[in-house]
Amino acid sequence: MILSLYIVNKAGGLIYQRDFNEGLNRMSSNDYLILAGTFHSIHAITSRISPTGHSDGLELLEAETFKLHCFQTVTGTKFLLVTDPVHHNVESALKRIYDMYSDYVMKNPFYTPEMPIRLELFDTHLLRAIRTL
Amino acid sequence: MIYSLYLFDRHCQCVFYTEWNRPGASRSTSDDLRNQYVWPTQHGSSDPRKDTAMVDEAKLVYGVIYSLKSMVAKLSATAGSDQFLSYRTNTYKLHYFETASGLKFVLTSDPATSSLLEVLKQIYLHIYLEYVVKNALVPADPKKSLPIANDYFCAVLNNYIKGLACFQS
Repeated sequence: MILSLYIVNKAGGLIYQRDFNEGLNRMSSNDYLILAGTFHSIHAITSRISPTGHSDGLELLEAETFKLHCFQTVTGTKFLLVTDPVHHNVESALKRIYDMYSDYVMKNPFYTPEMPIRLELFDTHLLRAIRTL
Repeated sequence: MIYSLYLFDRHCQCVFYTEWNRPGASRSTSDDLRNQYVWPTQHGSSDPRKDTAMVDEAKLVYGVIYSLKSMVAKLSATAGSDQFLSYRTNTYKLHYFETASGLKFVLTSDPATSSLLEVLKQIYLHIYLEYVVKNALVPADPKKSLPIANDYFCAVLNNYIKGLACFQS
């Protein structure tokens, strides 16, 4: 079960946040922004404290009631997907979300890069894809 | 493959650190405890340059676990009872266990290792409690953090970690 999706730009700003299922605490939009910023810094530190040379940073965070998967693109945009602890096949879901992001966000001429995503086409396609996963 | 163990007390101080398969670590072919790198110690260890690097590293590790802990607590719907268990990167995995008294055990391993939560609980219950808490010679000052300088603790811990199936594989 996919609980929610966050997209964080390369500067650590939250540009998209959406909950798909119940299971996580609801917060104010300001708290989500802080959370994204915190995660961005943690990600940078986790790549530095690797015991075996340089690492690419946090990929999967496990807690008792959820899992947080992080996929970082080459340009530094991070896709964070929160699922329940038993969910499998998250890699492919993240790749699909990335495909949709490039199709409906990056190819949209009215979208300013690194800014919050408010695009209906992306929303509808994302919802449809999450339901079929 | 197990790389290292950090132990933080409730004053946010690293009271014990040791490492096993880390690249650049002093590899001892025998089970000689004197070759085992342990930090922090009262008299300074064999490698002073590494000691200064460890000060920064311990702070970074503590910062990460502290932030992840608060992040999990914020996200989780079940307030308070949800613990952060581990995280994985492409080169290592960090396992975390916190006792009710605020003692934090952090173990790093290679990313393919499955959950080592039970291992951390064993270290706490059967090694830390036996050889540190029950040791009458350890000065007990709840307001100060003291590095664990205890050969028995080191030796038993070493034996236990080296006996794990995932130690070398």
